[in-house]
Amino acid sequence: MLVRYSLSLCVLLGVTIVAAAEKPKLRTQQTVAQGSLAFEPEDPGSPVVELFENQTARQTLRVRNTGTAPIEIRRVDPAPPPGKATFEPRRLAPGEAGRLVLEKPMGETRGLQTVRFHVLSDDPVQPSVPVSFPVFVQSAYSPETAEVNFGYVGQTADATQSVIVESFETDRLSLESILEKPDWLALRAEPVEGHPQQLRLVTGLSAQTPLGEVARRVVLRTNVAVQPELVLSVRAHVHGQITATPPVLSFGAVEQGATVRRTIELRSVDASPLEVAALDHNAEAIDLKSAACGEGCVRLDAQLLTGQRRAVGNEFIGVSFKDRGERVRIPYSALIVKPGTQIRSLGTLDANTDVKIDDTLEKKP
Amino acid sequence: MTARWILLALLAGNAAAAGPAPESTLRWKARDQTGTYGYLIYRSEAEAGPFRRINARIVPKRSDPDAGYVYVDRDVAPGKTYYYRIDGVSEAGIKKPLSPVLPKTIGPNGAPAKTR
Repeated sequence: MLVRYSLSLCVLLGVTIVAAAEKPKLRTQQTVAQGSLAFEPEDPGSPVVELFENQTARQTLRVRNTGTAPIEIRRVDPAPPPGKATFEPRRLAPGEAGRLVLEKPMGETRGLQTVRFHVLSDDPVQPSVPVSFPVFVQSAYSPETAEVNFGYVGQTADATQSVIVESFETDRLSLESILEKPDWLALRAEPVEGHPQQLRLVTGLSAQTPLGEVARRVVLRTNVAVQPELVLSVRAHVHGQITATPPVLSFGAVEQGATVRRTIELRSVDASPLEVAALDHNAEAIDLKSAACGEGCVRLDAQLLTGQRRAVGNEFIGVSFKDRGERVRIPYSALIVKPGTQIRSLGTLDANTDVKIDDTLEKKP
Repeated sequence: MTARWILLALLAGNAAAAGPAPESTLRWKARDQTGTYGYLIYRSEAEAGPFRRINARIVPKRSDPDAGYVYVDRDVAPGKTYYYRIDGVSEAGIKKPLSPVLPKTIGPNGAPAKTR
């Protein structure tokens, strides 16, 4: 239940997460069919396949026909794809054993996972047999997820941010090429004095950086043979000639029926006159009013509509201004809960943090 | 991962040579193993590195937290000083340093090794 709410809160708070992989049951590493096909790993001494990100997990199984009639293996399918299986021989006489090689490209999802395949045969007792093996995917880098976050920043501010990445899989870490990068981002790699296995990645935003919330992936190629691809996540919330305070509106958790208001102040950076031309928002979720608050300033009064219990996420207020091309986009979020619900903690969500909500909220109507 | 990696004892090595082949024994305990998958052991011949991982397979977490861990490094030479560090790795694949970099000098055959 907790996971369900964590995920819904992630949506609510606009946080992108990768769902944790299901914990594998190590004891099922050897899967024995109820039918006539029996499987066992060719190397029983290696219970968990260990590999690096983007490598292919391989497991070789011996498959034996324990029945009294011949069995033909028709297909071996990864569940889910992608994946590849090769087996020989296709037809197994009673008592005969064959070899089944399972291969699964693991991608960037780290940690302990289970790789699953289905063996389809003409065995009348069990024509589809699930086989699985555990894998542990590790990163060759620290931090495993390198990230630079520029925060709320002006488009012409020439902002720079850096992050140090380390790898013990090479004696001297170096950048070989940039595989994927937005044009508006400058990037260079600098050695870290006294630490040859570290690299400082220095990033900078150009004046062409798009306005609003920006989240992009930068893919670099390093000299680390076991995992050449290094992914850098870049985040920024970019403003132009108009700033919003706060730039993101979070109402947090509020009770159904409660009156909740927030104020947003919009200002032109050069104090030139500012006049709202149009407000774009979901009128069923939020009520908005605007008023001048001095030279080059507009105040928005936002009232959350709390009639229904729900999670509000991925929504925004759009503001257009008279005689200005720039449009301001203010994301907002909220969690409207049943009155009396106790929320023990509602922390910042990241890969290491969970959100705990008591049972009264977890039991959905 | 909420685990805190706390090292209680490291490189408690009486290492030394068993017969002609010297070896270096690393011993450690982690007080809190919540979410831990296992341990990675790195070694260098200089304090500043470069470090290289010496356990081909991750040292798996033991179910008994009081049992502690032992790793024997047999790829060592008498009289040389090596620098070790141990990282924990969580079930989610996140590494976290468990120990600082600690030096260990391998004694000559039959003599106790020094841990500074």
